[in-house]
This record gives sequence, structure tokens and C-alpha cells, in this order.
Amino acid sequence: MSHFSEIKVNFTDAQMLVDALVAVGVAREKIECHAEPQQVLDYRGQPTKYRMPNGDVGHVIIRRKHLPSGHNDIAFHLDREKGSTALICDYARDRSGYNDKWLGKVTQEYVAAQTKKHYEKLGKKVYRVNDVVTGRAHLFVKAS
Amino acid sequence: MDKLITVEPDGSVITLYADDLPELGKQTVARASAVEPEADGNGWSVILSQHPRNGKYKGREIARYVQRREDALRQEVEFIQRHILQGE
Repeated sequence: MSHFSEIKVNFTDAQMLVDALVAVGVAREKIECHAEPQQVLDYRGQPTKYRMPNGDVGHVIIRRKHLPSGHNDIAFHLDREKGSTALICDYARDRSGYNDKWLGKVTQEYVAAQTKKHYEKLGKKVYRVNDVVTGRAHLFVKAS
Repeated sequence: MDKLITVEPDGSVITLYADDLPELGKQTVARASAVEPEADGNGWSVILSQHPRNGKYKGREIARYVQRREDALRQEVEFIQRHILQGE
């Protein structure tokens, strides 16, 4: 008897998220990584309050100065209990491709790195096969 | 047999449950298949559940009269990994 395990990924490791962003093409020097979440700013430099009543904050942030004109900061708020939140304005989603598809690629990179780290601690090797037709990433854990 | 963890383009993860899976987020577990003895006692059959993930194979028997239960369990995992998780 087997069971499916379906997992909605929650970003909890800020450094690993930075690595995932780098893997999808964001320059490392353009990514801020904070132990304590920092205020997110809109395209005018004003604090945003779209998702959090006391102001949007993020642990991992790509500042608007590194993005095309008119974009808010792109940020990720990490919360182990409540789940992580990606703060991406509609303009960045529509105009620059920082959309759900992009977020899916970031998540694939994050999961691949997290899975590799986890199984390497257990003495197992992981290899990855990308399916270019379906867009799926397959992570194989070598039988020992 | 290698364990397979599939990450969909939207970032969601699907795999077969194992106790050693990494902590990646909120997990939902549901029956994928069963290995049952044949009615006449002559071996084992592998039957996929009605779970939507099983797609066109929902409810189908994918192996019958497998003599050793261990072999039936292996065929079960191989089939799901190849045809459901990889979608070949």
C-alpha cells in the first residue's frame, strides 16, 4: 500500500531561498537577506501595507532599484508556522515576468536544494532530471 | 529502487509518502494504491485508488497474480513513480 504525499512548500531557510533566486538568474548582490524582516517599499519609496496590517516586511528582498522602473520591492516573508509569503506587486507580475511561473521555478530550485541537503545528511545522493515538456523537476534519491 | 520526488511547475511537491521525507511545508497524505491478496489466494494484485492524481489509471488493477507480495509492492511503487509522478 502506498500513499501520495502532496506538499505545499513553505520557505523557511532564507539563505537557501537566496540561492534559489540566484539559480533562476537574480544576481546575488541584488538580494538582501535579513534575520529580522525589513520594511518593503513601493515604487515611490513608500512603505507598503498590502498584505500585513502593520506594514509589509520581508526577510529576503530584491529592492526596486534593481528592478525596472515602476516596480515595488519584491520580498519574501518567512514564517515557519503561518507559511511564507511572496510579496510581488501586480506590475512586476504582469510586466516583468515575476509571476506564478517564475515563483514556481524559484520553488523548484529551493526544493531541490533542500532535498539534496536533507538526504546528504542521511548519506544518500540526489540527482535531478528536468522534464522540459511538462516543466516538472524530478528529484531521485539514490537507493543505498 | 530510487525514491522520486516531483516538483510541479507551480512549485508544489508530489511524492510517495516516506518517513524520511524532508520538511518542505504543509503535507497532505492520501491513499494512492493497495496491494491485496487475490480472491483465490493465488498471489497478489496491485490496485490504484480513485485519487485524482492517478488520472487515467484511477481504480485500475495494474498487476495481478504476482506470486510474492514483496514483488507486488515493488511493482506498485515502480508503476506510480513512472506513470503517475513522471507521467510517462
